[in-house]
Amino acid sequence: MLPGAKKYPHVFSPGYLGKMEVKNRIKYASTETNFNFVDGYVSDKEVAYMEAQARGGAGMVTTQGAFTDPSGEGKGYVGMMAIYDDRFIPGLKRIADVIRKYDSKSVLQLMHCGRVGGVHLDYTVGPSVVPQRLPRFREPVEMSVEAIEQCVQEHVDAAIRCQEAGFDAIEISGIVGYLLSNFISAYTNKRTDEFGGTPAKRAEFPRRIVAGIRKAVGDDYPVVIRLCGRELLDDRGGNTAEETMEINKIIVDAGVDCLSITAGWQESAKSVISRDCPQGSWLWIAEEYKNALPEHVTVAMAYRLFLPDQPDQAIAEGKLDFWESCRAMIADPMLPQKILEDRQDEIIPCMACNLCLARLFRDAELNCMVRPSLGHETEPEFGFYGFARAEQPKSVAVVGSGVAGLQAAVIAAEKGHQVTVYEKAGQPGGQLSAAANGPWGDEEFGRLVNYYVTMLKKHGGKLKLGTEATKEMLEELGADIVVLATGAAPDPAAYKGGDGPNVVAALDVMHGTVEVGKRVAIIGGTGVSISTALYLLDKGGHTVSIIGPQKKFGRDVNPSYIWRYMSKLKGGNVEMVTLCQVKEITDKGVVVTSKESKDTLVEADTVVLANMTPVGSELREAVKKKDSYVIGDSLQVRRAVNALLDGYRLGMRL
Amino acid sequence: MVPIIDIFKCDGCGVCVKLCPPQVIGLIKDKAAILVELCEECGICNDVCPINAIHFELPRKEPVAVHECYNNPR
Repeated sequence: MLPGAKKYPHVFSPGYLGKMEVKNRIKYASTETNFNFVDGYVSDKEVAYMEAQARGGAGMVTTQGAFTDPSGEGKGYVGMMAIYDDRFIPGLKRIADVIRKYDSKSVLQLMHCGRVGGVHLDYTVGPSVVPQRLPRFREPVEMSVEAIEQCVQEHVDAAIRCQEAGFDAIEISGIVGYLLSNFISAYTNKRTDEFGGTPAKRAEFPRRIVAGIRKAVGDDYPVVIRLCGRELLDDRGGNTAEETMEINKIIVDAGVDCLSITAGWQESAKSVISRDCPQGSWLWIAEEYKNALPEHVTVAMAYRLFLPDQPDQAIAEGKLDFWESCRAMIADPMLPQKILEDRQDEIIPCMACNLCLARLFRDAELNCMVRPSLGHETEPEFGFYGFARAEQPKSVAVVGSGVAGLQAAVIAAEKGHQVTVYEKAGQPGGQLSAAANGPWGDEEFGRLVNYYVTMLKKHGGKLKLGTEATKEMLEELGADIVVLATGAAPDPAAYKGGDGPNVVAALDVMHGTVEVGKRVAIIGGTGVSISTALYLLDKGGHTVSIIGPQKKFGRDVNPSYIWRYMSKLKGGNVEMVTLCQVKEITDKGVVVTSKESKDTLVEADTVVLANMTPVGSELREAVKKKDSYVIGDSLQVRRAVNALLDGYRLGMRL
Repeated sequence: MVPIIDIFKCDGCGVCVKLCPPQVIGLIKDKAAILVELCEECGICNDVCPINAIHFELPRKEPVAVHECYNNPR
């Protein structure tokens, strides 16, 4: 028995999807990718991605949602695959075949995007006309009874195609703001006919879909449905928890074998899957449904379950049947295999940054901050299944163990180059190691640093901490290739008085290595300032101002998170001193000037510099004659995702 | 997928230059150009272009008229 199976006996025990046995309790959850052709055909890219998920060892692999109607009302994403006609079956069959090839069960998902559909149209369809809140989406048109009945039939026809294509099971998406959830929710369903008005009537449209599919596929074919356990739309008349339970039970009773339970809509104001939501915080909903539903119905859940410990315990305690995983397996499809082989520190860790999903509505392909090989699994140069050994191994000196340097080093080492990483600080990780001291889940950044350190060692690379690579040292070393990844740091020389005794650097503040007085002024309007402010708010006992020339701070921060951060800063009474230039730093604080007012003093006991400026340019001269590269923030100050990409793309080249 | 800028359409307005998160779009001869190696493929430029001059999606798979003409050149 493999070590992971001993350690997590429940996750790796077989389970049942209806009457169908599955080899373990891990289900790769449906993920829209935008990888498919714009006319709905399945692409090689999508097949390659599904193959990767199957090879990773999950017991079940779910496809992305396929849209069921020829008019495209159900199509919410430009690269979504279609199932509204038999001509799409051969492409879909490729996916079913590749999943089966690797001994996993294949589940095809049907998804009519409803309120967020009609990506090529100028309208969407739904139960009622309830105006959009998010400006990106088109206004809904009310579906007639005929249209509803036709939609049910389209789902039934799609289920038959699903069987024909050879999938082991079918899944219906009823979550997040898509069509089924629009009928279910009192927020979006204001009908007074047979499809609205009471919870039972709001359940009718989804119930008919399930009943129709069950009749068409027969009693033995597994049917899964994804439903919302808590809409989190209380601020706009969404369902109560009781209404939700009543409705979900009706739908499940119509013939569902497995309920995948979720929380929240896209429109919900509450954090559901971001880092500030601790892992496992939604398991209580799975437990609630396990207790409420008949015994033969199994329950699956994803949503911030990134590691096997909590799911294993939940399964043991009868609170959960299947551990679903989306983002954690986007980041590393091999996650199940790595857990089985007790190589958890080799799992590429999802940072819950949500960059992946955020791109889908912009018509971009699914992307992953920590795994640039996403969408390129069968392209050898991206190294998803491993990087080929270099024909001529070289000696590589990497200066800096931040994200960019470590990522490049890991790939170079895997290719067989002799790699040494020089890091002047006592710990690896650069800015990321400082960021990992932040609150609300940011300690998970440390997983990424640990991953790199583990892989570097595994591939025979060396990491020299507390060792600053100087010009002379690089000369002496005579490495074949030099990678300068020295990052960025706040620059005191940029301001008059920047070398004063009350001035400290933002990164040092977050490392906890400097004293910070009560009143703090942070100079710099980017994400580093915001992180530092959040860190200080969490510590308590500080009043904070942020000073910068921008109109809006944090323009560079992940759009998925910035609104959350801003509201935390507002709640902590952080003063935003925007649109101004720093004239001078004194012992009283920071003197600023703006268009409106001349010299204004922002009082502070401690001034924190967050004006990130590239570091290490003096080394470039020294290595100009060599095969040398500059990557990461020392090339141009950007974010972690960019530094990682730089390191990866360079690694691909070495 | 790094987005494609339609140079025949681009009017050099600079909105994408301003809003690109890692600031890797510039103007060359008044037309937007992306530093491809530094592009993080986020799609924001595609989203904000006021005249839809930036796009990326996989093309149509079904050939349209190609085989017809290929088989019977006009």
